[in-house]
Formats: sequence, C-alpha cells, structure tokens
Amino acid sequence: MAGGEGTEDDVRPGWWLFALVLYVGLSFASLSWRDNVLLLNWIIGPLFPVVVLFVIPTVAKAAVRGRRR
Amino acid sequence: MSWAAHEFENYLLQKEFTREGWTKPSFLAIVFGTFGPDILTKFFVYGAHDEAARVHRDVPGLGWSHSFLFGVFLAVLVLWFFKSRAWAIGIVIGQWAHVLTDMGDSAGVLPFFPFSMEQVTIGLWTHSAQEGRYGDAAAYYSGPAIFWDLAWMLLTLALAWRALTSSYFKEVVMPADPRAWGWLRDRLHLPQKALLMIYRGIFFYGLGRMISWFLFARFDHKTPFQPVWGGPEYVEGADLSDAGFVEVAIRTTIGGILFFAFLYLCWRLFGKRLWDRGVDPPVMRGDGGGVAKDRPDDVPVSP
Repeated sequence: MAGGEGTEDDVRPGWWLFALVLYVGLSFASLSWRDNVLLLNWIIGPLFPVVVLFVIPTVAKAAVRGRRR
Repeated sequence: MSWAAHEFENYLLQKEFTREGWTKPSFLAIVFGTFGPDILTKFFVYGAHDEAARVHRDVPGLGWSHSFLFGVFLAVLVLWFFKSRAWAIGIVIGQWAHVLTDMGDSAGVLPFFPFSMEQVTIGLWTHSAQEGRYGDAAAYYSGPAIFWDLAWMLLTLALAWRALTSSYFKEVVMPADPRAWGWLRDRLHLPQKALLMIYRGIFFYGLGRMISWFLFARFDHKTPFQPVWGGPEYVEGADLSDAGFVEVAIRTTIGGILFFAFLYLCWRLFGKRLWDRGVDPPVMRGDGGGVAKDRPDDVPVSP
C-alpha cells in the first residue's frame, strides 16, 4: 500500500486533531500544577493519543456493552 | 536545550538511516537516545537554580551526558548485554543527534568530552534553565528557538512524511525491532492500531507541547516575543565559555581527532568483537522478517 493511504489501523485525521486540541486545552487548564505532567513528562505526554483515541473509547465501549447485557 | 526538536528528529533519523544492506536502527532506540541526555539530567538541572547550565552542560556537572562518548558508552552496554545491533546503532544515532541539536543554545555542549573541555555552541537561542521549568519554556518559545523546532517539524514532514504512515510503521519500524513491539502487543494486549498511536505519539507530543508552550509564553507568562539571533533578549542566556572562536575551533578540532582515534582503538580492542557477537533483527537475516503472517495483527515476533 502506498504511504499515506489510510488503513483499518488508522483513525481518521479529524480524531488526531481532536486529540491535539484536547491536549492543548488540558495543558492550559493544568498549568497551575507545579510539574505539569502533560507538558513535561516524556512518557505521559507521548502516550496521550493512545489513551484518548484507544484506551478510553475501548473501555467506554466495553462498559456500554456490559450494561446492555 | 531543544524542547520539541528532539521529538521530531526521531522520525527523520529513523527514515534516513534505514538503508538496505545496513543495520536498520530501532525507532525506540533512537527515541531513547534523543531523550536520554535530558531524562537523566533535567531533574538535577532545575534544582540547581543559578548553576543550572553548569550542572546541565559542564564538567564537573552532568555535561558528559551531552557528549558523543556517552552515546557510544550506552551503545556498548546495549551491545554487550542485549546483543542488539539495531538498538546499539539507534542509541548512537539518537544521542548524537541530541548533542548536535543542543549546540544551538547559548550554553553549548561538550561533544568531544573528555578530549576537549570546550563548549561548542552557535548561540542561536538562550539556555535559560536558571529561570525554572516554566520560565525556561517561556524563554525558549519567546526567541528564535520556536523556528528551530518548526524547522525540524517541517523537515520531518517534507523528507520523512512516509515514516508517519501506517504502512511504513508495519513494514519498516516494527520489523526492525520485533522484540519491543511484540512485547507491547503481547504483554499489554494492544492491537496494531494502538501500537501505531504509540509510535506517532512522540510526534504528537512534540507538536502539542510546541503549541502549548508558545501559547503559554504569549498569554500566560506574557513574555516579549524576540526571535532574534541569541534571543530572547529579556533573559540572560547561560554562557559557559570565555574562549574566543579560534580557541574553541582549535581545541574542538584536537578533541575531535583524539575522540575518533579513541573510537578506532576501542573498535580494534573490543568493539568489533561485540559487533560480530551482536545480532540483526530477523528482517535483515532474510528469514522472513520474523513476521508471523497468521497472527491477527501481523506484528513481528522475536525468534
């Protein structure tokens, strides 16, 4: 597959933009924290997209399914 | 120090140093190399207040972490204990890139420590760690360094945009480092979609913090935007050397010659033996790249 084409492994670019806006917003909202983990932590910062775009939706879906049962 | 360039350069370096017939560097090792010098030192740097730059970039202090020799030392340890050529070469690439990138600030680095004790710098922006974490970030994004980060981002997007695609991740990045990605998949039960997000997360982090800190400097810290050479001017940048340009050039040249002679000696004495004992990722050994085709996520697994 040519580079740049989306695959089933990709989320849409709009979701990345959403994550970026959320990241900037949360960073600003948490500026009063002495050591802002979102902006300063080299593990938490890079893991932000996977948490927002994968972990939270997956857990939420599982919770909704569990309630329906 | 550079605040976001170290995030962007990983993709460019991985792409440019991946060549057929040569060791394919591990992306995660490059990240470890580019982040390493600051992860090991930042905590102590900001605690040192007025001596921050000296702690960060001088010896005595932690200046050795920003020398080429430190990258080689880490790579030798990795080759010795883990026998991974992809990780050893990745760490050297990443750590050396960090050293070269940090030459942009006023404090400079000791690239050829201990053979030269002269800081090398182009003095493009101020090293302002004495201002504390937030003050440092505000100063960095109030001077020309914002363009340094921006340039690295644009360079990465222009020359290595393919490195950010899912196909590149699947076909090049994962096979170059099957053990680490396989571990993430198997132990944390992450599908390829999530692994791709982790991979792109470094770029995301660079872009996110570049935007956030820039806005912070403008609207919260309200520092003046002074993107001039050696800026911003409202804060005094750390300068660790009294030597003039010619003196620095001569000492650095001598240090460089001695450093590479030392490397050659190490290669003859034990480096080649360690390298020969090391292993390439399966994809370079021509045995199918270690990719288990029948696995649902097609993630390479270690042999």
